[in-house]
Amino acid sequence: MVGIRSYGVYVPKYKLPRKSIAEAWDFPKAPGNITISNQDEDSVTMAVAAAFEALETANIDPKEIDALYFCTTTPPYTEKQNATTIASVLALRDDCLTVDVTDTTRAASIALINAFDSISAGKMKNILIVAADKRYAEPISMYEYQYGDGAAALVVSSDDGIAKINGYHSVNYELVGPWRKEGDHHTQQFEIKVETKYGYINNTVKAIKGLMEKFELTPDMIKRAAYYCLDPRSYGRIAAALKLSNKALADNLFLDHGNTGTALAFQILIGAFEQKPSIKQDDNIIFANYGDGADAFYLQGTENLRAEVKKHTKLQKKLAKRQELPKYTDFLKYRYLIKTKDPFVRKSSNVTMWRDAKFLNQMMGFKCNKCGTVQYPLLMKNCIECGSQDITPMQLKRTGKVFTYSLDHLINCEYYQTPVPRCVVDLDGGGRLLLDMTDCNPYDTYVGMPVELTFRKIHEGGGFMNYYWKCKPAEGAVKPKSAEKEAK
Amino acid sequence: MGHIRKGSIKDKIAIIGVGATKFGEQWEKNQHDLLLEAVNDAFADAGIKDPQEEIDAIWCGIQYYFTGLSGGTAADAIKIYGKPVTRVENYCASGMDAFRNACFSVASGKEDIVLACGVEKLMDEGSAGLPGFKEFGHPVLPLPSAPAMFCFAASRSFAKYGWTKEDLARVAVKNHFNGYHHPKAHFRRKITIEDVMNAPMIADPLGRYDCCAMSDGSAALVITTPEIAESYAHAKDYVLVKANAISVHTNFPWYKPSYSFVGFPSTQEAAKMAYEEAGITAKDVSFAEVHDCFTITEMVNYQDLGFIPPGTANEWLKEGGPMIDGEKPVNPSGGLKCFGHPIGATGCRMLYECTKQLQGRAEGLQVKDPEYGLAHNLGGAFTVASVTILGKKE
Repeated sequence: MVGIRSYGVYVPKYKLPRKSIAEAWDFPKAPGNITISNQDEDSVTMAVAAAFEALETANIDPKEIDALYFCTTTPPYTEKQNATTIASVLALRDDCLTVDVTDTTRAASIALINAFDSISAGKMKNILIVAADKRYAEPISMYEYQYGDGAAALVVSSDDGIAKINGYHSVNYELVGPWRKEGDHHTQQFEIKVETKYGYINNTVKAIKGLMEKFELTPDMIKRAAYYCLDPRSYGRIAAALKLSNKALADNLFLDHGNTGTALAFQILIGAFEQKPSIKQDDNIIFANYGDGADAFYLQGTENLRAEVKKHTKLQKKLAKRQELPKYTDFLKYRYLIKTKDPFVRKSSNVTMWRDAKFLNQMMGFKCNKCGTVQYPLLMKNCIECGSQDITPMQLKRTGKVFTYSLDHLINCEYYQTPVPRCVVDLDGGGRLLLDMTDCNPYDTYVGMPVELTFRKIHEGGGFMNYYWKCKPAEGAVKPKSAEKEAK
Repeated sequence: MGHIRKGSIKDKIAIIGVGATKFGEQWEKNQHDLLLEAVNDAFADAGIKDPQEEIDAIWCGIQYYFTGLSGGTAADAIKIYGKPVTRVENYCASGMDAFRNACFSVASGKEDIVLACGVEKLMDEGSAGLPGFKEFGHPVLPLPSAPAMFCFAASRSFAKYGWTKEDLARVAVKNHFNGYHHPKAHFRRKITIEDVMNAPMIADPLGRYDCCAMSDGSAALVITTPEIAESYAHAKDYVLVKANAISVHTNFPWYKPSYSFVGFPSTQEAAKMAYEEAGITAKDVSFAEVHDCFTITEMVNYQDLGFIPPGTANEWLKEGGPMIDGEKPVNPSGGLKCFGHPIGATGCRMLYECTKQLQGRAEGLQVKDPEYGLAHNLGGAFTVASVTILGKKE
């Protein structure tokens, strides 16, 4: 028995209206938005955010995870595994299998097939799959209308969970559709009509048909269908070819969100879980993904689905909370698509980063056994209050409040993306540390502001990825400036 | 804590000569030029005729590696070779710590006449904030700019005491008024509250006039025993060291859960030690040159040095307490606000100013009949504080 136990969706803070792109390049107007991640985000950091949601709502100890699949076409490293970074942040076991699945938008469903097979074979119990992408479309092309950023995660387990997985059907297909060669900055696409007809529609239909034949499913038996969306019109054509009712179709997310690459199919599936009318026990669900072929899965809802959905901030609500980038030039800046002052880079050492990984990646602090002070970091192994060396390592929480702050316009003597809120944060449950704030309007910061920690890319000093935590305003934390007076 | 220090350098050290360059944008001079100029000034003031013969040792405060490493920087600048020469680094207190080490060498009887000096050549690195933040520290743990660090005190004080940006502005206006009169100051311009309020932000709520500037400069002091001082130029009005204390706290106050950010323990400790050594209280201090790297710092200093109770710095400023004609003039020279802050030089520059004030020969505004002058440095993340108390010859 294999089932999806829980899920997580990460929606970045910003969105760009397609009309901004149209105005910038004098393109035909298009409706809707694409979701844009911040400058300090990449596929790894977005994956971490989605994975945390999936693990926390699954109520699962990260040590119970037997394998981690990280699926992306935009891995920060092409040599050196990215999944291990995520495993380190999530504090997974060191004998947990870590895998990067890359190169195709189908990566997420390939991982799901692997997870299904491993669990069916009784080799593993809990597998975390996390898919994330931050793809760059060709500048001054209408493909800019398509690509959004985001991540999604599934915990797949050896029980029914919220939706059981009965089986899959997979097909491969050779066609140079969207591609990116070694060293290419952005994804290229050529004749979209061929890609749409012979690639996307053909393969998605083939995979789903094969699946339906295998499990003797007829279109009227399908309560919900959720599959990758290359464009909304073709999405509908696939449903028509399969004779699926429009009522069964999941929201394809294209209009308001864009195509989030490897994360998209999972996000559409999760949207389908959350969509009304609710999926009931034993309702049949078709899930499919596309990219150099297609994978289709036969899922069935369980009695746990409705309760699980309630634990989450729904995808649609997350989309509704994004903040609009007012100008196309903001988008260019967020993507480093214009040559600006070099980003702030500090001297780094992979030796330091490796030695300090416990407290850098996992927010490990310690408690002093003499005076009881909970503190961060483990940079020094004695108490900052009383000097005692009698300490016990302790996992610190990822939420807290701003004790004091400043809005720093000087980053290494340069004016660069400023001001940065520098926040002294008191963590819930103890520990104080200094964190930069991100995904915020700096001028919203106040003493006493509730914040949550978010794992971000800090810089590429030393030529490698230097990740660490920042804070961002917690849910409902943004208040008028007058709140400052109350805080004292 | 609770340990009573028995030793003291009170009245054992005499300052017999002081010198300083003009502070500011010294584009045409390098660190050696500046140091030599300040030292020549001090030697001339002291009546030192043959430095190679008369000077036994040198301590030189330098913060940045690009200003110069080792004692060699000072030895080369002055061309005194073959003697003990030491570079001292202790953040913004580097200069005053150089002075402290120099005092101990004389007090121990090992050396007779020694030179304490400091220099920093910042402007070659550009004028927009302190350099070096890419090079030092941990790769990813955040390191705020200096103004942002001190803003932690401003944000907390605003929240706790209800201070405002206008309160901060009064410090800048006062110091600019004083600095206007000082020929060696970097900035000699009177400003208004509106100027301060409307200036561009550096680290909210600190704007351009809330921050001291980047600057080049050097200062030097010749010190010896009171006995030897009797045979030098200032035999009649040499200045005595009453106390000198330094206190070092954490480089990482933002990891310390008990840290209040409305007072700096390093200053409080150093002040306590200094008052004990001098046998005086804060009330006895006639005037002070305090570390006003930022306007908020000066306000916190008033309290940490015991001039006024915690939380009342805004009121004291409104009453005119720290003004040149007030109860206790603070930064009669114009402070770091007007001199800028060539890190290694600042501590020695403050002692230079205090000495001249006590001798009644201030180049800027003269404090009326001072008895005790206090100099105070605060460096790093409020990490290092140094307090020196000087008094007149009995």
